[in-house]
Amino acid sequence: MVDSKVPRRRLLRTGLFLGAGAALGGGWMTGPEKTAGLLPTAAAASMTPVKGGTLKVAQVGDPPTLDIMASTADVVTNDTQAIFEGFFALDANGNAQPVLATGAQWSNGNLTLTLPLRTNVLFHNGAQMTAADAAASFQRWLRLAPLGQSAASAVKEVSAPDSHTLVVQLSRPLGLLPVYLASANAMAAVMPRSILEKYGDKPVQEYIGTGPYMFKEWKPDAYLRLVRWDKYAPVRQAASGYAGQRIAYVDQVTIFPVPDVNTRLAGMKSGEYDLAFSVPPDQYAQAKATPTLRVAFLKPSEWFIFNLNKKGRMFTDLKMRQAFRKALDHRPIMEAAFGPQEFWSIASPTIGYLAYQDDKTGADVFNHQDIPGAKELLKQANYNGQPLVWLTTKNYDYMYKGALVAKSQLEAAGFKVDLQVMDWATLVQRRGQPDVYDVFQTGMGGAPAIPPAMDAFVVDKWPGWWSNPKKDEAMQKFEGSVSLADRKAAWSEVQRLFYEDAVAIKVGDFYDYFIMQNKVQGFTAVDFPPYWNIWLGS
Amino acid sequence: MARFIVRRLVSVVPVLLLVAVFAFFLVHLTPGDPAAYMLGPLATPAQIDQLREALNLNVPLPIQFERWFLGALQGNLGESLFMSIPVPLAIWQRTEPTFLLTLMAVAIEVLIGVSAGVVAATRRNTWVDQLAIAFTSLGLSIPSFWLGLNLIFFFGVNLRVLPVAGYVPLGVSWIGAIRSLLMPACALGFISSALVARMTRASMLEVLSQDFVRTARAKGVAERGVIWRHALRNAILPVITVVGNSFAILLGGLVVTEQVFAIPGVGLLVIHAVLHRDYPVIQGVLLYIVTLYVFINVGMDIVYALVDPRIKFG
Repeated sequence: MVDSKVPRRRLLRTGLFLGAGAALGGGWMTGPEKTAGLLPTAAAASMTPVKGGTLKVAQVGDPPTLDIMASTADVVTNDTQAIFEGFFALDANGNAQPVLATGAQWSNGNLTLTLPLRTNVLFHNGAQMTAADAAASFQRWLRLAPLGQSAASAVKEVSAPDSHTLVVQLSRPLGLLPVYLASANAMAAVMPRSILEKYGDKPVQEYIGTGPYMFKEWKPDAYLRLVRWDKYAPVRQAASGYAGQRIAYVDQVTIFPVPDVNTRLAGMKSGEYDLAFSVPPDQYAQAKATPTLRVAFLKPSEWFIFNLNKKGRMFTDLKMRQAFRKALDHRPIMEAAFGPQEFWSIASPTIGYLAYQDDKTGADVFNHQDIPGAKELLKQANYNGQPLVWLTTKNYDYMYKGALVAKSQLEAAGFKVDLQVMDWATLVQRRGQPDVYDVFQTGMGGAPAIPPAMDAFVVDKWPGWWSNPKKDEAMQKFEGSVSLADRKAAWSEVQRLFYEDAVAIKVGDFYDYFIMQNKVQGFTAVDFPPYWNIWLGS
Repeated sequence: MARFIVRRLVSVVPVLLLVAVFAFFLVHLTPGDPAAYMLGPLATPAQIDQLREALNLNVPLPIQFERWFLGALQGNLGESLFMSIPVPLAIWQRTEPTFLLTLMAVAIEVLIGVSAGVVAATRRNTWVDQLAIAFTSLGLSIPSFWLGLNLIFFFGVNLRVLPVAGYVPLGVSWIGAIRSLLMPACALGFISSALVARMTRASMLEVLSQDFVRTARAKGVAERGVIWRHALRNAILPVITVVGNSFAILLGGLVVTEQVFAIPGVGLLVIHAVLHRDYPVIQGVLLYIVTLYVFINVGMDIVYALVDPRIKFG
C-alpha cells in the first residue's frame, strides 16, 4: 500500500485519486474505541447490531478495474475487498489470521508451508471452493501482485495434495509469507479456477469471490453495487482489523464515485451518503461541526517522503544527499502540506509502524537543519550549481505545497532548484528515468507491518534505486524470519541504513480520517476500511 | 436544400480525417501509461510491460495508428482499455445524462436570456435595463463550478429539496432524472443566458428602430404583438447562433459541471479517459465532439432558413 495510498487519500486531487502517531496500533482499532473522544454521546446509543439497509459510500472515483489482485490502486482495494477473500487477513496488530486457510503450518526447516483450507466455503456462483482454485489463484498472485512477485523467487512449488490442502515449497526461508498473503491490497484473492483460466493475466471481468458481499452491478462513473452473499460462512474468531468474523449487516453497499471533494462533504451533510473517503484536512472543521456526522482518525497512516534518485545525476554522491537532508526544516514543510497539527507529526524518525516502530534509530540526523553544514557538504562535493530537478504534482495538494517550502529552504543552503509541476501519471512515468530528475515526493504507508516489504524505497528496482548489500542482508533476515523479535531487529537495521545512506528524507508522519453519519456503527478505521461488520443504527 | 446538406456533409470528411490523425498522435505522444495506471503505483516495470503487451500497446506507433485508422474508417473505434466495451457504446452510455442536461440547460438559457434581453431592449435606459445588464455581467463573471457548489449547499444541504449529486437514469425514474439535473442545468443555463440576453438586447434595439416596426405600430398592432411577433422574429438570428454554439459546447461534455455534480456523462468520461490515458476513448470522444459540432452547424443553417425565409441555400 505504500505510495498507493496517494491515489485514495490526498486526492482532493480532483478533489482524484486516493498519517504517525504515538498510539502504536491505534489505527487498527474500530471506530468507537478509537474515536471515543470525538463521538457525540448520542452516537453511542444503539450499539446492538441490526441487519438491513443500504450503506451509501462516497468514493473519490471509479476503480480502474474490479480485479482486486490486478491493481494496487487504493480505490480497487476499497471497493472490492468485501467481494474477495484471501487465505489470511491482518488483525489489529498486523499479524496474519485465518480467512480461507484454517492456519499456517511450517515444517521441513521452515521451507514447507501447509495451508489447510476451510471446507464449507462457497463461491458467489454457488460452486465450492477447492484447493485447485486456491492453487490457481496463488500462482496468479505470484505473477501479478507486487508482493506475490517478491515472494515468487522463494516459491519452488505450489501443490494441492487433496481437495482442501495447499502446500507451498520454498527454496529459501520466507517467514513472512502468511503476512504477504494477508495483504488486502493486490490481495491473494481466491477466485474460481475456470475464471482465471479464461482471463489469464488480464484483469478478470467476472467478479466471483467468496466474501460477505457479492458483485451486483457496476455502472462506471455512476455507481457500484454489492449485495449480501446469503451463503457466506464467516470464521468464528472475534473481529480485529481486517481479520476475524465478517458479518454482512447491511443488505447492500452502493459506492458512488464523487470526484469533487466539496460535493462529497455536501452529500455527507445532507445525509445522502453514509461514509466518505478522502476528505482533506481543510474540511475537517466543517465535518466536526456538523452534528449528524462523526469522524474517525487513522493513526498512524502514512509518512511523507522526499525520495532521492541515487542512480543518476547529483545524488549518486552521498555528500550531496546529506547536504539535502541538512538543508531541511521539517516543521514548516509539514505545516504547509498538511495544515492543522492534528493531522501530522514530526516526533519520530521511525520508518516502521505497529510492531516495527523505532523512535531512536536515526534520531540524531532526523530533522536537524544545519545550513552552514549543508553548505560545507556542497563545497566538499564540488557542487557546480547544476539545477536540482524536482518532480512534483498538483494532483496531490500536499506534495506540491511540501515541495514548494522545501525548495526555498534548499535555495537558502545553496542548491539551485528546478521544480517541475506535472500531472501524477506523467510524474509516475518520469520518476522511472534516472537521467531526468533528482527528487520526487510521495506518501509511504503502513511500513512495514501492513504488509511488510511493500516499502517501495527498500526495493532497489523502485525509482530512487537504493542498492546496498547490507540492506539486502537485513531485508533477507526480515523476510525470512518466522519470529517477530528477529524481524523487528532486522527492520531497525534497515532503518539505520536508511539514515546512514541518506536514502531519502522522511519528512514526517501524517494521518487520514474518515467521515460517517452517526448512525454508521461498527466501522473499522484501517487503511482500507471494510464494509462488513458495519450496521446502520437509528 | 438536399444538395446543400449533402455538400455540407461531404465537406466534413476531410475535417474528420485530420482530427483523427491529430487525436491519435496527440494522445499517444502525451507522457503517461494506461498500464501503469491500471496496475497502480506499486507496479514493477516488468509487470507494466506484461500488461502493455496484453493490451497491444507495445506495437510500434505507426502500426497502432494504421490498425486504429482502418478500424475507424469501418466504424470500429476500438475498445476502452478500462471498461472493456466498444468506444461508441461507452460514449452512448454517457450520452443520456449529457443530452438531457444540455436540453434543460439550453431551455433555461433561452428562457432567461431571451426574456431578459427583450425586456431590457423595450425598456432601454430605465432601471429595468440597468438591472438586466448588471444581471448579465454577473452571469458572465461567475464560474459554473462556484455557482454549482452554492446551489448544492443551498438546495441540497440546507433545504434538502434536491439531491446534491449523482444521476438517476430516465429508465429508472424520469422525475428522478430531472431532479438530479435541475441544479446543474440551472447553473449552466444561468451562466450561458448572459450572452443570450446581451445578443437579444442588441439585436432587438436594432430591429425596433426599423421602419417596419413603426409601420406595424401605425397599423395598430398591439405592442405585445409588435415585440414578440414582428421584432423578435427578425432579431432572433444571431441569438440562434449563440444558442446553437452553446448546445454544441454543452453536448461535447461539461467537464467541470459533471465533475462537481458527479454526473456520469460525456464530460466525466473524457476527464477520466485523459487521466487514465484510455487512448481509444479519448480518440473516440474527440471524433464524436467534432462530428457533433459539424452537424449542429448544419442544423443551425437549416433553422436560419426556416426562421428567416429571406435566406436561401446556395
